[in-house]
Amino acid sequence: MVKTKSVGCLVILLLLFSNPVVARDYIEVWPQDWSDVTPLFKTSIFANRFFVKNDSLGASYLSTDGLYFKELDLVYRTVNRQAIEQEVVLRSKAELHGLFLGIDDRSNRHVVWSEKAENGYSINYTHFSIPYTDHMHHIIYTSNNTVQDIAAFQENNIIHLVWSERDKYFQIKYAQISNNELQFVETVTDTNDISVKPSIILNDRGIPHVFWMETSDSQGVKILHASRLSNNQWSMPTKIGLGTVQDIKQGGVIELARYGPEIFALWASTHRGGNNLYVSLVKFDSSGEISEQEFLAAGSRARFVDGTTEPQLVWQSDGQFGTEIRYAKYIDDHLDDEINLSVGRRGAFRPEAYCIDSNVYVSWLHADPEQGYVLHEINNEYPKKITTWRKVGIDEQAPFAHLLYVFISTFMMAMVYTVLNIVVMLVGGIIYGLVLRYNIYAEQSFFYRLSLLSIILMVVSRFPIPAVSASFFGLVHHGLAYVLALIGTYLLMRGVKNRGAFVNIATIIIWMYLFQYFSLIPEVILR
Amino acid sequence: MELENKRYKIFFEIALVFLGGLFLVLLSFIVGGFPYKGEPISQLIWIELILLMILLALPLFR
Repeated sequence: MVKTKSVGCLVILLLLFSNPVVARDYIEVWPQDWSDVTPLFKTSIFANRFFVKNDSLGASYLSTDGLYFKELDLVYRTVNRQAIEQEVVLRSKAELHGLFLGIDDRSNRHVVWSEKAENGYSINYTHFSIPYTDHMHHIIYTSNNTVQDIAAFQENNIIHLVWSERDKYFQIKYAQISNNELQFVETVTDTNDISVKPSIILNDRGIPHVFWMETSDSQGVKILHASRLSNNQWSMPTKIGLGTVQDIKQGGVIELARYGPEIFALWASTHRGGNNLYVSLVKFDSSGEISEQEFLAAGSRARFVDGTTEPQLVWQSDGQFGTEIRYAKYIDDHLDDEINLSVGRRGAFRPEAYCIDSNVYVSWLHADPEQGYVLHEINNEYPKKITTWRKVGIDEQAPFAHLLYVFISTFMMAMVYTVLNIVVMLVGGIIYGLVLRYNIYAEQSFFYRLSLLSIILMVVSRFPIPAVSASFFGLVHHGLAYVLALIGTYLLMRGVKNRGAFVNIATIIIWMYLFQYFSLIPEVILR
Repeated sequence: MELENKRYKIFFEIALVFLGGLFLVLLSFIVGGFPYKGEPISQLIWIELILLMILLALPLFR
């Protein structure tokens, strides 16, 4: 027996202190079926967003690069298989604000951007073909008023443009760019409230629909919608949902996409009086019916994956190490299988995504430790090969040492969680005791009574009483933790003959401990 | 000797519960992918309440 103990101790010491098996303190759980993350180029965060679109000539990126907000370069890049093929500076050393990239049906690139100069604001336009030879810079609109939040939609050779302009109050303006000129400059709003962050899309019949955010002192932020009528007038604005100033301050916009006859609108707003941002969705069907505002997931800056036939979303959401980039398909009115794409300890933000065939490419920004920001990309076309150990979150370089660490950490944390659930155990124990006063329950098998006790404890933990629970990792894991705790308690307690109060208390504590232990495993791995 | 054997039996049972359970949880990650951390689903309380009702009702119909 002494020999067995000695061997056991020796194995544990070897696992813990052997040089080649020292586990890392953190392991990245890679998103299954996704590629490595590739850094593409350095950029800035001075403009609200960067643009990425794909066509037969490759992926096109439009971004504002530079380190000083008054000296930014407007840069267009073509990327093929994660290699930059072409890089063109379209505008150099200017104070750039909004930008837009469109591709027409002849693969010509159309770029619109807004600038601030000493003599006021301007909206600028250029177009060019690929391979790039040259481009002409057209100043298509100037104003002494503040011009901000430009957004556009390209349909064949016409670009439908909207922006917010301070004309005593901020109003939404609409115009069309055709033959290098701005036409039909129209004012969509006429209100004393502040109308900002417009977005535009054309429905399947070619009618422009504009959405924007309107802030007022009395009603907070409203999301409004208007469509262009046949006489070049605009319909009365209709409220489609609520937004939040928090989202406006963080540079949020209303993202629009068309799937068949339906228009989908996404933005971020708070939910149930809380302060956290949630991705909100509203749908318009072809008859003009507007759905209720849905709250899809915690997060902001949601984008539709460009080029898909069904809605797929990327957005940023708070994670353990800052913001994370998440991806999910929108199926049957909910997000299906959310995935965190930006693993690691660096915050990732401002996602944009496009589709090649059925493969999704997602880009986002990471802060560069040196200076500025770097655009990174991931895709599900070339999945990264991951080992089974890595698949379950265990370091493949030192799996047993890491497993031992996970086991000990979970073991210790489960103790703390059990102690913190003392009120749940107390209330659950009292209810269980009351139920057992009826002989019909008291005379049942031990497994039945244990099942009853465990489900009473689960229900009691939902009561508004002090309780602590591990993070939720899906219904399957939750159910598995419950079943394993039940079977484990049964195995450990089945031989105990005396079923007095002391044994019942011990059973409650053991079940609670085992449930916390099995629930905490993924949380400890991710810690 | 019998007491010593009983102690080892208990020790192995405890080890089986903890390590076997850990193995099964990791196995579920291999089969279904590493689970995604999220908000508890709102229907969970109803599932648990229904289970409780079924368990309470079972002896009445035996």
